[in-house]
Amino acid sequence: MESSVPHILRQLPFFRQPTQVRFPGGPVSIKAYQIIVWISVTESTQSQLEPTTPRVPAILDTGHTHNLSIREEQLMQWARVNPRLLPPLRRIRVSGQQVTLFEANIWLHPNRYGMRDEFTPGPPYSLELGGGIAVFPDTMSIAPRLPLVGVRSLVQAKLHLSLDGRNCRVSIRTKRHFWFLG
Amino acid sequence: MNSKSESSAVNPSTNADSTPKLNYDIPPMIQRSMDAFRRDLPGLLQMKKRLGQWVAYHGDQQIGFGKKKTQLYQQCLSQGLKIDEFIIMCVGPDLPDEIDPEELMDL
Repeated sequence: MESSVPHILRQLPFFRQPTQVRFPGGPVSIKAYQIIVWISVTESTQSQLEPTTPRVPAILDTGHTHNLSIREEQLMQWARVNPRLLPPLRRIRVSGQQVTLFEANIWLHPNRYGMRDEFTPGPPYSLELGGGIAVFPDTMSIAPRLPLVGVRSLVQAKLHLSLDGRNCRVSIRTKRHFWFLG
Repeated sequence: MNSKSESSAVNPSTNADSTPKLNYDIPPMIQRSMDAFRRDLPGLLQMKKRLGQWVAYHGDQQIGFGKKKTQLYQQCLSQGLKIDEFIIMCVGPDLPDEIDPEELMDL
């Protein structure tokens, strides 16, 4: 897929003012300058994404040092993934409290050019994660409000991220393949 | 644990009745595998050709490398390993043991 679909997010907009995304559980508030990408979460054994797998809004957060941080409730109710069925890998600490990392992959849904919440019919892009995802108990007061996707997940997939500050757009693409270089 | 390898975590019927647990036990073989990976990681990081590759551990044993995590996962499963008996990690800087709470703030 890398060579045939180099662009995953094409001119995905973010906004200078608060917005909302429509979501089955109700509208979700997005703050100004938050970059929203749509992801799915699956077990690492899955090589293809089932069409019925839910899409979840997540903040692309360049300041986040882990792959994905998500509340347990959002993982279960939004992504429809039961963490009890994912292999737990290890525990980390957040403000002295324990958070478990679970083995999983995430999938990035390609947007329709210039649109944030509309999608192309093309397949989602698998982000294979080393070290899993951090699942926060809902009782933790510092659990993230929305899922956070960290840059680490893009780096592992060797993706290119560009931000157009003038037009408030973000693009993500795979490595270019130059067929004439072999 | 067997149910883990036989059922899918992605469940359309998952709902609010599924009581979340606050703490999850790390399976012993995953713990051993993770310890072995973290023991070996400094050496792996010195091997330029391995950087960015995926490596599988089953307990203390390093069982293989691959360019795609999912493929390596399938290889391990086809060898008869259960999903709570091995890990597949990326050869690269390890995840930090702690998340700074400021990273999570959404002000």
